[in-house]
Parts: sequence; C-alpha cells; structure tokens
Amino acid sequence: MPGDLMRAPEVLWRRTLRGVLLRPPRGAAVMIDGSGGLVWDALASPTSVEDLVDRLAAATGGDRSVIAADVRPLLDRLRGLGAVVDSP
Amino acid sequence: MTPPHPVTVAAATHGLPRSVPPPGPPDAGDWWRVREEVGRHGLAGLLAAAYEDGTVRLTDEQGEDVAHGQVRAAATALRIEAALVTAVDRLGRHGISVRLLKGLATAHLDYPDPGWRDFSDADLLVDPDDIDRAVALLTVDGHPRDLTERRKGFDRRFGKAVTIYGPDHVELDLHRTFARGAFGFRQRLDDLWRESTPFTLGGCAVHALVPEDRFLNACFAALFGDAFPRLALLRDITQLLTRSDLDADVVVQRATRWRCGAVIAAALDVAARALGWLPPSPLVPWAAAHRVGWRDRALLATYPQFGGSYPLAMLAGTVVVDGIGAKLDYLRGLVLPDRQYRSARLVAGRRPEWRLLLQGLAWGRGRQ
Repeated sequence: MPGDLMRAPEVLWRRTLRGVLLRPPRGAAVMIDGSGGLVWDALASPTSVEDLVDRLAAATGGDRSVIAADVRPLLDRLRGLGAVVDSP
Repeated sequence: MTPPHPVTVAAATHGLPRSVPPPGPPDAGDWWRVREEVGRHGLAGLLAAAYEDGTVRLTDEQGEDVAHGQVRAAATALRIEAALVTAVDRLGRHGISVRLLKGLATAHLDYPDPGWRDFSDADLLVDPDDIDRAVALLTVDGHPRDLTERRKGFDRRFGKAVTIYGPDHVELDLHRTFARGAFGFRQRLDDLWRESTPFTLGGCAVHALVPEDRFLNACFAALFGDAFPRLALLRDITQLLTRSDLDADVVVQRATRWRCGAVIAAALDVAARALGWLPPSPLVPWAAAHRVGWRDRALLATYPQFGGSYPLAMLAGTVVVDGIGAKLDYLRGLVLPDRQYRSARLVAGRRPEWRLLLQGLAWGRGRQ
C-alpha cells in the first residue's frame, strides 16, 4: 500500500549474534542490534509504521508508545542510508 | 597433519543430520587453536550458529570471540557481494553472462542461512570466448589483474582463471574451468552453460550452476584448491549431498563424460574422513566402488594434495590438451611465457615457475 515501507532490494545483509549487519547502497556497513532485528524481519514485506509498531508490541509485550518512539528514528536512519524504501 | 579440534569439527558439521557435538568448552590453552582453525577453515559463521543454538558450549569470553569473528566474516561477505553485483551488472550490460561459483553461490543456495558459509573472494565462470572482454571491462577503471597473461590467447584457450582485484580490493576470480591441469582440461565447458539456477543478490538477478554442477564444482575446489582442503569446502560437498533434488544420475553422467570420476571419488573419501560421515546418497556407494585407473592415479599425483605441485599439474595437463599444435602452444605458455609475465612474477615477489616445478618434483619423490 502507498506509504508502506520495505527493505530496499539493493541492500545486502547478514544476521549475526550481535544483530543484523546491513550493507546499504549508500554508506558503510551498519549493525542494527536488539529489537532492530525484529524491525528488519518485519520489513521483509511492505508494512506500515503502525502495523510495524503493533507487531513489535505483540512480540515483545512492550508499551506501544515507547516502541513507536524507538522505531521511528531507526526507520529514519535506515531510510537515510537507502536500506529502507517506500513500497511501490 | 594434526586432526582438527573437536570444536572445529563440531562447527564444520553443524546442522547436518549427524553432527559431532564436542564435550564442553575448550580450555583456555586450546581456544587459541580453535580460533586459528576456524579462521583457516572458513567456519566462523558455522561456529556462531552452533554456539547460538547450544550445540557448541563455550565460555562467555569465548562466545564474545565467536561473535566478533562472525561479524568480521559477515562484513567481508557483504563487501564481496557488493563488488560482485557491480561486476555482474557491468558485464551484463555488455552482453556477458556469468555463473557464480563456489562459496558465494553455495552460501545462498545450499545452506539454511548464507551466513553459515564464509568466503573470501568471488568466483565467476565466464565463457572462454568472453574472458578477454570480461577482463578488459573489469580492469578498465584501473582495477589490476594478478600478473599478466602468459602469452596472448592463453587465458581464453588454456587458463584456469584470471584474478582481478576489483572495487574495495575484492578478489574476483574469472574462471574458464574449475581446475588447472589435466582434470581442468577434461571438463566439457558447454555442459555448464546449458542451464542455471537464478537468484537475486542485492537487487541484481544472478545465475549460479545447477545443483549437480555445484556438487562437481565443490569436489574440484576441495581437491585441487589447497594441499590440505579447508573444512568449509568439504562441508559444501556434504551440504550438497543433503539436497533432495541433487540428481545422482546426472552427476555420474557428467563425471563419466568429463572423465573425472577419480576426482569425485577422492573428494568424497576426503570429506568422509574429515567430517566423519556422509549423508546417504547413491553417489556415496558409486564413489566407493569407482575404480581409478593407473592413468588417473598418475594425473591426480601431479596435484599438491597428492604430493605434486601446481606447476607439475599444469605441465601434466599437456597430456590431455587436444592436438599437437595446441599442446605446443600450451607448453610454450608454460615454459616460455612473455617477458611481461616473467617480470610481473618477479615484481610480485614470486619465484620463477621452473624452480617451483623442480621443488614440486623433489617433494613428490620425497612423499612417495
């Protein structure tokens, strides 16, 4: 759907014990650790930010507003690197 | 050679139906050895997976070492994949198709997680008719090739591979065949281009060999890559044998057509001894029953793993090259390479090949 986010097809990545290591089209490799790995998993298919927060809240049992406050900066960073894009 | 530490073997067999769990964390004195072996055998990803699911038990400090090694191996793999995507895209835009070989292809197609298979370079199969153009396209930006061509036309007609240090200093090996020497010349290269296994890497459509050819490639790589095969290469053989869609009849047909049954039989034997087990497959009894004739024994003996050397294996390849004219051209390339090639070897600090050949012959006699 318009406004949904997804992984950029060009991004290369590996799952490690310390998190998910991404090599985005722009910039150097970056590690996303902790719940960032869950975000990355959820972005395997196009997802809205609201759905993403709901899924993380369900998976972790955490507070939705706290999760949303954590997720948005991460998504902004990943978009800036070209690792996450708008779904067509 | 000292057998690998049980933790190293546990990593090499992790995820197989019959893996070999070690008794417990290695003591501090053994840990340095495990780290060295895991690095040398390309098992950082497998060890991390074995540690994560509890198959291999380690101290917290050792676990930190494992995590660090895994991240380093993963960063290397991603750097190589990025360079490879750039290279494949450039070649594709000029109408040159390639097939991905060895670690990078098998990581994505044969393992449950690509992170289980470390690799340190990218290997591509290029049609011999395209190899000169491919080298020119990939070196145009100033990326150097390793040495220069021995003589004009040698790469296309007789070479095993051309190494190019591509973007980000990534080693790109452009293969014409799987191996140097006699068994490389026996390959029927057209077999490898009839079909492929496509997949997507970094948004780029790439093609690898079909499982049967990946299996043959794994056997050649394990046997002829180093004097002592890396466990990651032997694991590739085992991993491919676990594939339900590996058609043993096709492998046997290929091996017969390429006259490389001795290679498959020897590679399976080495893998079984190193890993302690092979998955059930019709190829296992076939290989065990395969009779290796005197001629193939002699050809195998020219390779480093069997007491020979690379110059000796290359020289022995003359026996297999078709036609007197081609044999002479090949020998000329080996014995009388161009001055630029000889100079490049000297500049790179490599000894003259005739000296390596004599050394190989002497070592072979010593081993016998």
